[in-house]
Amino acid sequence: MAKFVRLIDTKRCMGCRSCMAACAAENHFTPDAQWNAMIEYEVGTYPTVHKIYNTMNCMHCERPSCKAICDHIGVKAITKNEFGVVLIDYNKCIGCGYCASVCPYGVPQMNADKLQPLYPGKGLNGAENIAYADRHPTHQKKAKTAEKCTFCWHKLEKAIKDGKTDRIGKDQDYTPACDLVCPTQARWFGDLDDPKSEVSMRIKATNAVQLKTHFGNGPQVYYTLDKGAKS
Amino acid sequence: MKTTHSEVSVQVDAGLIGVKRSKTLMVSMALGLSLAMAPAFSADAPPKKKMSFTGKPSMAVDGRFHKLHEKQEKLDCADCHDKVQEDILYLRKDDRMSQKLADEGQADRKGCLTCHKPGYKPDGPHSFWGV
Repeated sequence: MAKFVRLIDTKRCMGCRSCMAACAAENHFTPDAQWNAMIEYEVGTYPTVHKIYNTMNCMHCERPSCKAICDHIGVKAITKNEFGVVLIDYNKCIGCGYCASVCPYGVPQMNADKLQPLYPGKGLNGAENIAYADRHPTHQKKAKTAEKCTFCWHKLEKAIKDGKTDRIGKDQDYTPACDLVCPTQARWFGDLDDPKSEVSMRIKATNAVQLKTHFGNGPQVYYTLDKGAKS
Repeated sequence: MKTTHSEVSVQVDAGLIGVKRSKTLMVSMALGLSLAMAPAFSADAPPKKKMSFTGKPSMAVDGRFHKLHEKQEKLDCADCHDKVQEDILYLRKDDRMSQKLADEGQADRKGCLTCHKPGYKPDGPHSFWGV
């Protein structure tokens, strides 16, 4: 069974935010509920200072605390499937915000009382033009519910249906939008269980690490850290 | 000699009762044994507490989450909300604004680890990812 992971190379990332824009268009962000964010900070001491660009999205943890708490209170709106992808069922979510409060990475976003397009009053953007009923379930967002990055599950699901899981991380139709558009090749996506996959080899070659391992969640997003970068 | 239908059912019932009795006896013995041995195995485990969850889950100040931590766990608001956030690796904007944390009280997840420590049993009450 494949285990999908992402590698983000902070040595290569130049902070252009193409990944954020691609995710916004693909997954039609709602205002204040982005699935992918850029965090930037400075490290070093003058005159040898430099900037670190660290994009954050859902870590699709091995032991997701969001799912644990959701199950614990009996809502069971969060699942982790056999490919390691953590998903929220908007029809089951009661909007309590517990998942957001326990995530060590601050990932789940709570939708406002009323859903709005990304640019209110300025028309629709990207996938917002797709009729609500025609959207993938992960895009049928609801007010007062939690949402987050799905590893572009609609694309991975398509690859699985088409029997093309070997093309995940390579073909446009089967690869998460953010990973496709990176102009500096700072993002890689693929199967960690395949030792010959690009992502596996790069994780190993660059000594990539997971963030905040002291929480014990086992995140499935790896980072190649630039000098001085936080983990 | 023929056995009537009702006699058969009485015999079957009696047999079932016998099986049930022996099962009950075995379960009781196992329970007693496990209770007797529990202290030996639980020396390193955190004490398990049965928490009472009532009301609709809510993050409101007077909601279930805060009630549980404040009233049952006897935590003061400042225990979670009065620290300046040093960790900025949070996706949600509100959680990584350190000054805002001090001003408006976003809780640093690191504080949760005081009780919700990883490394214990996944289904235990004291792991961060096991609740």
